[in-house]
Amino acid sequence: MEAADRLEFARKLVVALEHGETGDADRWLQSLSDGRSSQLLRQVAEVTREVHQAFGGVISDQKLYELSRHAMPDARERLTYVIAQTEAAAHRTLTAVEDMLPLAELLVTGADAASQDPARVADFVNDVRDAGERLRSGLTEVLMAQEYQDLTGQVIKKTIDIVEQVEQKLVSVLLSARTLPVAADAPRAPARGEATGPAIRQAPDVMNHQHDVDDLLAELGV
Amino acid sequence: MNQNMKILIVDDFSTMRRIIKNLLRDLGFNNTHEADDGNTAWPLLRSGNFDFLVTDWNMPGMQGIDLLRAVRADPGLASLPVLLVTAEARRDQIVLAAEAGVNGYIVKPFTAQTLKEKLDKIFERLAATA
Repeated sequence: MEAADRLEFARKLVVALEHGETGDADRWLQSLSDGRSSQLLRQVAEVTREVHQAFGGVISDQKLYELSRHAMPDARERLTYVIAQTEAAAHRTLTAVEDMLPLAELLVTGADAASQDPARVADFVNDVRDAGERLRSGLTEVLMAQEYQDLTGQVIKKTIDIVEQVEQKLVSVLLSARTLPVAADAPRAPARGEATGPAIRQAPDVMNHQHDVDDLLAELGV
Repeated sequence: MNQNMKILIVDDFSTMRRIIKNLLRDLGFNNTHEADDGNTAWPLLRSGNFDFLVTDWNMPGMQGIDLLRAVRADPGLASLPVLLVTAEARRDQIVLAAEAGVNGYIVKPFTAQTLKEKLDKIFERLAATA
């Protein structure tokens, strides 16, 4: 409703009230509020259409459909594979190390004993030989456990590629619905004490070294 | 430092628990036990006569900072020394941990030497105040 129309209705409402014509007054009041409602409804309809168009674009976009239908579950599966591979490799390495540590201990105590008692040198030489063989096979096991890096590296690269495709597609859909905000918001700052996992990039509030942490703790009296 | 002291290691990753267990063994501590988050650690702490707690911060279920607060709020456990070993390294988190009464704070990735230094420092301080 135009401003002039509303002013006209308002004047007629005042005149009707002054003359005690309550029926007319009600009618002009109704006209005024009808105008407000229809204006609001028009705005709602407009926003609804824009949103509908934007989502229509998302839904009818074949590439985005394929990404959500196949690429996202695929990325999830790949990352799960990475977790399983890295965990298995870490356990394989730890088991080899746990097997080898007592051998190192055996060599140290054996050497001490042999240096005190020449009669034990021959035994010690045998122990060294035996331990050397087992250390070699243990170290080969540690070496081979690192093969996960090649496999997981490839899988993570592929996953980054998928994430990039989804990102580009979503940005292009948002740009096509021009009324929606596309300005990149700054990432949300974590709440005080909120656990956010390892810091993967430099940030002013992140302590990069243990000695920074120690300095801060010292300031705090810990 | 009592080499026979009973230590609880709390971390959701079994590999990290194994690493800490091995490092502690190397330092002569063989009486170590494990839990995978605060919720599983809590009943162990309540009933287990532990002398030392090493915990991660970010875990599913009950987080390390909440476990620390629970320990400090419990009359029977309040004086238990607690060492946080975590990838959480923001200033506000370290301040929060200090306010909650942590005895030591190690950021991951860490070295065997760092673990030894922090243990020595914690028990030197406890001996000095005892």
